[in-house]
Amino acid sequence: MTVKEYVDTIKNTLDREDSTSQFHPNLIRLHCDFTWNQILHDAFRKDLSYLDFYAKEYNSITPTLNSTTNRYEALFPAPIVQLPNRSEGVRNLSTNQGTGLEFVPISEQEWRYTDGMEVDTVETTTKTYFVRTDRAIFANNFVAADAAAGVSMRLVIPFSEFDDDDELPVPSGQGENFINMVLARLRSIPPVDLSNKNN
Amino acid sequence: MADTSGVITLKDLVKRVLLKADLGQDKYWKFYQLAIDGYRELRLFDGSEGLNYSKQTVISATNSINFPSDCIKVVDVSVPIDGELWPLMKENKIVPTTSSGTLDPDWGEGEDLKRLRSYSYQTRGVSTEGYYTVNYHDRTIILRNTTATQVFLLYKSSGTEVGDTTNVPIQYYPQIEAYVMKESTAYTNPALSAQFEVKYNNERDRVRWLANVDSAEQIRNWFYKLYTQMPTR
Repeated sequence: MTVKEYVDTIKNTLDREDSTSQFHPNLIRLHCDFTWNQILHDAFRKDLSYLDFYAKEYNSITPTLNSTTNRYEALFPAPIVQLPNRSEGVRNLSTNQGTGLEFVPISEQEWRYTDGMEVDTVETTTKTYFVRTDRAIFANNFVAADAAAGVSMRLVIPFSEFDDDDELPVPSGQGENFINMVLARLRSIPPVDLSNKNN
Repeated sequence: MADTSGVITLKDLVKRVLLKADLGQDKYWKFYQLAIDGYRELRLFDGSEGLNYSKQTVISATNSINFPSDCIKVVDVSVPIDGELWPLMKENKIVPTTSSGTLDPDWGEGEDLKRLRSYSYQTRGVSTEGYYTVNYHDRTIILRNTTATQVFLLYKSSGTEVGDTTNVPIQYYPQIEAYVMKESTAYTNPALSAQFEVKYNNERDRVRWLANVDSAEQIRNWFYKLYTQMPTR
């Protein structure tokens, strides 16, 4: 089903009588956004590797050098879903044609702890990065030539980043759950007070 | 068709552990450090492949040599004679100090030991080619009674090459894997860590008692060396 079909289905499942238009499609999309994050988290928190299917690929992103920190950074081309591991919604980061393990996520804490340790001097080919809300910051072994070559990312994006005619990859067995959770959120909204208190 | 390689790089070893445990890339950096630690433990205490020879130039001012940076433990110091390694005797009574980087004879620094330097019925010990003592604090080996300008140092190395590809004998993989999993769960899941500890100890036994044992042919040759050939009549 496309995104629009999901929104329409939810809209049509709600009460027909909506004289105040409180269930506007934009509001439905907003609640879909919350629910989408929750569905992904619940379905995959035990094994995030299955999230690869739900990630969207973005190629030829050029990292730039932050002159203040002297570290290369790559802005995400789209917002990402927060997930409970170091890479958050970044499922994979590589060179544009890369196939091997070229980049690995690392927490900033680990990066600071391992500074000067053996792994820091021995592992000179794999590049590390840590994730902020809107960007990946490259830590180890990333040089200007890597930035010039550009990087590719596979990102798990929120519901709001899908276009209306995009197929929504709802996790297996979660379709009904997704719709019911959105409906439950919408039905918990108090109705508009139509009584005229001035009379 | 060739068989698969007898060595595995440390990097591939880490990837194999992650693959086997179905863990994400975000564990890679930490696991790599643990694998380095595990390999060093194995080389120091269990495996026989941890030994390295290096030629070390004697520092004439202090009559000593420095440890290579990858040295964990000194095993032996020797000099070459007729194509053979002749070990120096370890003598901990050697005066180990220097006086601001030079040797002061008033304090016995640099003094040759009063030992017989010949091979006869009176000679004791296996070699009188010189003596040494180890100063682990300063990471130096102090030499006496030898005029050699270079000596051979046999030592246990960390085994992990800086900025290069470290090749690990494939038979060590299970022990290092068990070490990585044991240590990575030690604080977060002690019960699971205890299970990996059992596996680690089992793998240690295998490396110690099976992988390090000489082959039957080598043992046979060792016995042959004890016998003197009889003339054929």
